[in-house]
Amino acid sequence: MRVLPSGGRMWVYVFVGLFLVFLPVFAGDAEISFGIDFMILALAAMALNIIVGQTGLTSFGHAAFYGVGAYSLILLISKVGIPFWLAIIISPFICAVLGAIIGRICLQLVSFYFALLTLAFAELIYIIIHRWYSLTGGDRGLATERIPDIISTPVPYYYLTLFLVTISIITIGFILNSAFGQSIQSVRENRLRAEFVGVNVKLNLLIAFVISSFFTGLAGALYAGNAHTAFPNYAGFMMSGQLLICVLLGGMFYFEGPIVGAFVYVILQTYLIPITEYWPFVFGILIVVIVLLMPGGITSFIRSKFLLFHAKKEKILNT
Amino acid sequence: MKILEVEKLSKHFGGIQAVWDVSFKVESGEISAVIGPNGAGKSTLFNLITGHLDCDAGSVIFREREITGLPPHKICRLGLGRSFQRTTVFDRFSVFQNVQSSVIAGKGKTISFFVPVKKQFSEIVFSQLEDVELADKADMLAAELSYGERRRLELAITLVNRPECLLLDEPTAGMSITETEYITMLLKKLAKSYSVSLMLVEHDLNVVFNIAEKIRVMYQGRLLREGTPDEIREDEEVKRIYIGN
Repeated sequence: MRVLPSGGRMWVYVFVGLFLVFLPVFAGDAEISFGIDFMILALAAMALNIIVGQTGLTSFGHAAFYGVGAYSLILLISKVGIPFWLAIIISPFICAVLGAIIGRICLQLVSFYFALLTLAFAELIYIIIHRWYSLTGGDRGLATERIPDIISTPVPYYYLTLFLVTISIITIGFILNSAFGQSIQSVRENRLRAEFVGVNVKLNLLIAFVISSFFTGLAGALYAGNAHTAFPNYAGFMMSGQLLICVLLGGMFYFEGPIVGAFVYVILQTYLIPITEYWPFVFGILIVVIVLLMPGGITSFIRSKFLLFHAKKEKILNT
Repeated sequence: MKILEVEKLSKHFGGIQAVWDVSFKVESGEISAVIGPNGAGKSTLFNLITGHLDCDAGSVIFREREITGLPPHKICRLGLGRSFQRTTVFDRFSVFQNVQSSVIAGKGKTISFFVPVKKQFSEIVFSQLEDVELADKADMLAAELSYGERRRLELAITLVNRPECLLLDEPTAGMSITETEYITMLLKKLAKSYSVSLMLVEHDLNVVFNIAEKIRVMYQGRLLREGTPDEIREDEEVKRIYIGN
């Protein structure tokens, strides 16, 4: 997988970056909150794709880390009493520790069984959040008033999100492009061969899982910080499914795939909800159509069109 | 000097004794072959030595160090490589990346973040690819190579970290006569220039008698004979197993 952008792709990144930086200048509150949702979802999907696209394993339980990230932030602020700025840094680390524990157990198994075990752990965590009234407030959720004034309006929070998400995505890019990144991809390509060239497969996968949990947790914390609340459904199965859909829609074998997937997901959701209350139904059909028409995801579709265009141009030039 | 010592190794699957009380010693730099009819326990023996399977009893000593029970990646890093009966490479990696991944793992750099991997170790990788005559295909995907080329790529992957001992499971299986001759020549040449001990499982007896200095014959999980090619060729018991009464 080519991860670092070059040539034409670099310009796409620069353009998207500039667009996001200047969005609040010409957009209203609705677009800004749309932007925040998109960036957070993109980060979470990106983090999940470290597992799905890079190591070739499937996690059905990433919402656990998203939910724990969200609850950590709110609990740290409201019950422990530490400031938001510290809480947003600590929350992802809590998720990373949780990821190390869950990953250590799940990675005893492979493929399908691994996926089921992640689902089981996620449901376990969902139940704990849902039932532990004294700590989490159960299905009433948990709120905090103590978000600093400076980021309690949409525009500053938008820039905070943009800053953290950009740094995270660049970090993930570097990690995937390193010797470590290639090693976990080699496990995906052929686990047996990876083992017999000397890759410590379980350790490498565990590190990938921990990194993935960390960034998923950060996304969850950012979401809770924006909403000033956390609800059990952040850790529910629907959330895990939503992240997987973003990855599959965008294309799991492309670095920017989850970002594209998250963008399309948020667009569809935003425009479908006002039109019909049966939006999940329409949404489902649309996803089926997209997946059938573009089996490698939207990114693969766009790239192949783009390459075709280039090939045609070259052909014309050559004749 | 002894590089590999196998002592009283045994493994059973259910009621079948796949490997039974097998002991032998491999000299450093020796090219040897394990032969025997199907189901004689040759592949199981390889799997036991390389840590792919746990043995029921016995021990494996590599470079004067007990390696019984170690996980495969550790055994591999100690300098004991292997190839598989079914070609085992990284399909959606380029030829270059295939060998590069092996170097990364061999040097214990799989947990290095933040340094772009792109051209790392490219000198080592290219010199290895030249040795197996794949340098001009470095940018192709492994999946796009022909069968013989994939076999050579697997060889490059296992050889690039300069193992002291290499176990090859049927290196010429499924190859044409020309390809077989070519790979036999290549193995001989590389074994000499890298001074690596080769041990191969092979069905093609022409290859075995051409290349091996020492032959071990397995039959029903036991080590039946051990000797030079001439001794094995003349052995009545071996003839009986291969040709029948």
